[in-house]
Amino acid sequence: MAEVLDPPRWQAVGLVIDQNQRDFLAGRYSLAEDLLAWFKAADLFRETQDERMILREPTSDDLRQHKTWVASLIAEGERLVTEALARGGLAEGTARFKLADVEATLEILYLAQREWHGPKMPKTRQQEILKAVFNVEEPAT
Amino acid sequence: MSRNPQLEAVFEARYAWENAPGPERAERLRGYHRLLDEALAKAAFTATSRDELEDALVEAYREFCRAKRLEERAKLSRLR
Repeated sequence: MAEVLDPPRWQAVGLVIDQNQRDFLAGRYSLAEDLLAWFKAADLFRETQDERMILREPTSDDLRQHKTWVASLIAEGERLVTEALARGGLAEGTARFKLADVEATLEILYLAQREWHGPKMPKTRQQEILKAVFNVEEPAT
Repeated sequence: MSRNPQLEAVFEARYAWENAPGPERAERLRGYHRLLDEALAKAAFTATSRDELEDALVEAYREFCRAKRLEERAKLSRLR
């Protein structure tokens, strides 16, 4: 039963991202509102990531969905930052957040992309770094 | 993995950054990066970068997140 109920989490992430993109292209909301919607989509994505890939073992479908939506959120976030920069930044008083907060959220997404889909560090190198920097040992499993 | 307080502080700082409200994220990111840089400087380990250090911590950080999420769930269920 759980398997039947679970997949809509990724579907919801995709629907929110798609709707935000359509709204942005149609110019339905202000830039600050588009950015706020993007923040919320990124938060929903991270909630789903943790629910499906941290609290349990991710399936191949989870990894595929994750790869798709993290790339999409990064592209959308970068586009919004570019748009904001083209307008000389976010107008004072239009939002509680700054452009630096958007970039810090993009960093979260880039890190998730690298960690889940990038090249894996060899175990021996991992152990060498952890020992040298934190003096901790990790079993070589 | 055995832990040390400096490593715990790095994990706490990353978790705080990733789970902060939008308007606090830039400041939280600076705090997290500062701890990574301090750890590298203290160890005088010049053969690695901030990115590589993060890559070395991937599995341990996932374990940390799992424990945090389960703790949050337990707190929520006690409140309900």
